[in-house]
Amino acid sequence: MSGAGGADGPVGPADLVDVAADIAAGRTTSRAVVEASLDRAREWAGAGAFTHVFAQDAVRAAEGMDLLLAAGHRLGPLHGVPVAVKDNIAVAGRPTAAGSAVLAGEVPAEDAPVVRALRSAGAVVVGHTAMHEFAWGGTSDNPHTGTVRNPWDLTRTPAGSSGGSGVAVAVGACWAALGTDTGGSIRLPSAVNGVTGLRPTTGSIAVDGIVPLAWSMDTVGPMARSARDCAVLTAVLTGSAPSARLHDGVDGLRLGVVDGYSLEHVQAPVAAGVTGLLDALRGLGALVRAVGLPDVEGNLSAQLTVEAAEPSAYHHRWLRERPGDYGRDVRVLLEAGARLPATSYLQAQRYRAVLREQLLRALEDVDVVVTPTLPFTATPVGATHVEVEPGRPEPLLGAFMRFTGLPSLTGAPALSVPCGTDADGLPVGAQLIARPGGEDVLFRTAAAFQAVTGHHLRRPALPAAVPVPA
Amino acid sequence: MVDGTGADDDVEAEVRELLAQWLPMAAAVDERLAGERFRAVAPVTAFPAPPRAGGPA
Repeated sequence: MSGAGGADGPVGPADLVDVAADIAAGRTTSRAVVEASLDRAREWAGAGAFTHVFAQDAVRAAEGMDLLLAAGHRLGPLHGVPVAVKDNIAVAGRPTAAGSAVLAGEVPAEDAPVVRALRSAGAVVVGHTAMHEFAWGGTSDNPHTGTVRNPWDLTRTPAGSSGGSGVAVAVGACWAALGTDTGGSIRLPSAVNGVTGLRPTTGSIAVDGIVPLAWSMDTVGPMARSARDCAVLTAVLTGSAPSARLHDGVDGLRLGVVDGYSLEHVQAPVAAGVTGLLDALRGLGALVRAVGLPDVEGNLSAQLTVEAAEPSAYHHRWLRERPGDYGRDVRVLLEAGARLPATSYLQAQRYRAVLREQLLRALEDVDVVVTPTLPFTATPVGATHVEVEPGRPEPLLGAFMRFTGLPSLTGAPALSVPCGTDADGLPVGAQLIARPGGEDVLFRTAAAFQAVTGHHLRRPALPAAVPVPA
Repeated sequence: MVDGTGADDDVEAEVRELLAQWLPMAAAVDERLAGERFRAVAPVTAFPAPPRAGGPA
């Protein structure tokens, strides 16, 4: 059954910034906004976006936010706004299992620092979102918690591993969500679900209280409806002042397209979406030029090696003692990672140093490097291969990470921005990459694009029948 | 049980297939690093946290 494919524009506020302003001005209440989001979560339950919805707690918290506001206290820029967090992020008193059976029954006593930061800024946490088991995979097809489905077509994958976060934002079950990103797990589901998502500079946002995947690349970051939403959320999560240059535009900004890489080996609608983004930004005064990354093609091997070896170390004991508690796909990945030679891991980590040097050199000539987020649009649920080029199937896991590995390996921040659709209405995302610490220029670039285009405003329409979860 | 990792016949074929995909791909990385004859490129362990953009709130 096909899902929506509709292109509904927003009714009411367009993004988190708008709805937070509406609450602050008394045009609506936190309770009304939270209840509307919980309604969306119920309507779309068959898409499988949540492992747990905290409905009662969320309504109570929203009532508290309304009382505070009535008394003249606004906690911060997220006051009263419903947000969701991925199931590998600790929420005090709530099962936090990273989509696994191994951690079933784990109930943290404390919130992760990122959850504390959201609550301190006034956010109402409405639930834990579904994910690929232990974040080790790109489809969010999970044998323990169910299959997450793409709301633009329920027969398609929402990607992953933060698939539930992407779906929850896309359908309006929250106004923002946290995901985690090691090899692409925020950016991939942002792209295929049509939302905006940031992998922050590695190390810039604390990952304490989060179940690790590959510690040298793990990050946590926001997924939301717009670049300005992500800017606000990033300021909250880093404890920094909001970007002062968000609306400065892109006149004179230098955009780099990587020779032989950025637009190579991608499906035609993806190339068209990214080219459209470059054309729109050029029309606003940006300069587009070619840049070189001579050794970029090694990135996929290094990405797979590091992303396989580090989780296999973290899971080593559980894998020996209770292998049957893992889903088959994750177990195979962990077993394979355990058998990689130590020299392969070290070579991959050494290659990262070289690739980082090359990227930083390229980012002296340009302000932002542009690639697709991934080379294709959402694949069917259950697919293990994809044809980026007709007649040439390739393994899905590696194909997912063709472009997302570059920032993951180098520690650079990257923002996925909706920039088009394929013939079936499935979203396409572009990836914007900046120097480490350069999130502001990413937000500024994407905000300029989103000010003159409407890709980020499209919302999936509720299909006649959403499958009931098993 | 194979290699003490817990793998058994049930998943062994898939594990071997995956390694057969991954290991040859590392040639591109090896080739690049082989060119670094007079520099001991150190492996990345973690990147330092950068200064916060915009400074403290």
